Amino acid sequence: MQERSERTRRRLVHAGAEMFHRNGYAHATLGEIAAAAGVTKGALYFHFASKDELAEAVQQRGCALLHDAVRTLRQDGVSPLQALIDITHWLARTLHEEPAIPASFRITKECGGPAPRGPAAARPVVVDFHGAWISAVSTLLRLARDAGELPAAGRRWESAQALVAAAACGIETMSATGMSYAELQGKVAALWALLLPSLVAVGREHEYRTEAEFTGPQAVRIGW
Amino acid sequence: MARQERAVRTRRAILEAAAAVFDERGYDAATIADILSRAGVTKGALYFHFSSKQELAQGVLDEQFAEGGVPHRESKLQELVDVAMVLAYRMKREPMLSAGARLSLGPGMRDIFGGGSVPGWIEFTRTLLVRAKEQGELLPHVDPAETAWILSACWTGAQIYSQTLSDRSDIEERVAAVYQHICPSIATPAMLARLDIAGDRGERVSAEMRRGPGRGATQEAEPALS
Repeated sequence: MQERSERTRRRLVHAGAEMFHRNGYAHATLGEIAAAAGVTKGALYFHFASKDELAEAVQQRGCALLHDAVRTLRQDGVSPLQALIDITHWLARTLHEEPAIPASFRITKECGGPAPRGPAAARPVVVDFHGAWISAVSTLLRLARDAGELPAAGRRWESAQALVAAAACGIETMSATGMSYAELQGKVAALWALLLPSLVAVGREHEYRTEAEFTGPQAVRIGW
Repeated sequence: MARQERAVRTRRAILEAAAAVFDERGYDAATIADILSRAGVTKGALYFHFSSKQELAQGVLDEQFAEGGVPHRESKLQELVDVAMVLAYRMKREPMLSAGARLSLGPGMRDIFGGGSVPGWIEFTRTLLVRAKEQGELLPHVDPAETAWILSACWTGAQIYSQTLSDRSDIEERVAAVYQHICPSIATPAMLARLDIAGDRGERVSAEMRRGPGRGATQEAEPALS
């Protein structure tokens, strides 16, 4: 019984993610989401009292996926800098394959942003998913520094951090303007080829794999 | 003549009001009524110039490019840095530009505006890089198209990063950091030594533009190219 309820909830979060991703927070309706999940509106309300609550659940799902991905990469035993490169490839892939990720960014863009100055628009309290992504990237970069992988960045640490965070955010914004996954994957690799020389010791940039890798455990798709 | 001038002024006032509303509320939540009350013009005046919300947003996007110019530089890489830094400098101060960025990078905008100003921005960057390469400013392995995409991605990313962490107050330092780190990988050592990528570059170039051409301003700001 409880298991079935859990399954229904997961289906609703998935349908919500899909709908927020495609149509945006403002245009998504709970009726459509319930229909897409194959449940009644009553069943939806049993789990989520409002669109805000569902949006929050979608973003929590996005954060959980992000944290799982970081943890998996760390457990793989690759160096922190390689994990950082891999997490940007993970982002490029999940932006196309896992609606909770683009939906989480979209909810942040639509409902977050600069503090409303106009009439108090209905704005749900949302997770700042850009902040969550920047924080994940910055943590890996710090670990890479502590592991001695970034001697070239050492002198200008703060600006190196800004550069990497900017690049990581740029992958999402450019993906949102329309680009196939294959194309985006190539751009992410080119991006790292360009950034690495300004981060690592001279001549060591070739020790890192800039292309996406799909044979490791991180390639296992995290299913619903 | 006077009438035409008034029409230009009204159009500009409407666009400025639209930019402020789009900047604050985003495209989806913005309404024509908001823009009307902000602009202080009649409904008839607004519809004389713009037939829909989409046209208003397109007008804001076009304005971004109309105002995007910087003085031409002998070094095209310097010119590119100048464009990026001036935009960062003005982004904090002018709703027209920050609204343009929000519209271009906003969710779902690709369906409405074909990616907003992003494709145009990448193409503009690529053209400057091609010319920089022809002039021998770039390292031989540099691919202008690829690099244009990366620089554009990092510029928009720096904007998001700065907005997320500091409400855009440090956007110039963030954009400068992008160029400071990437230029050594694309510019020849001789070019690199002459590039001015300081955080206040945008402010200085803007001041130069305000002083206007023909007063030796360009000479002053142009890093010497031998």
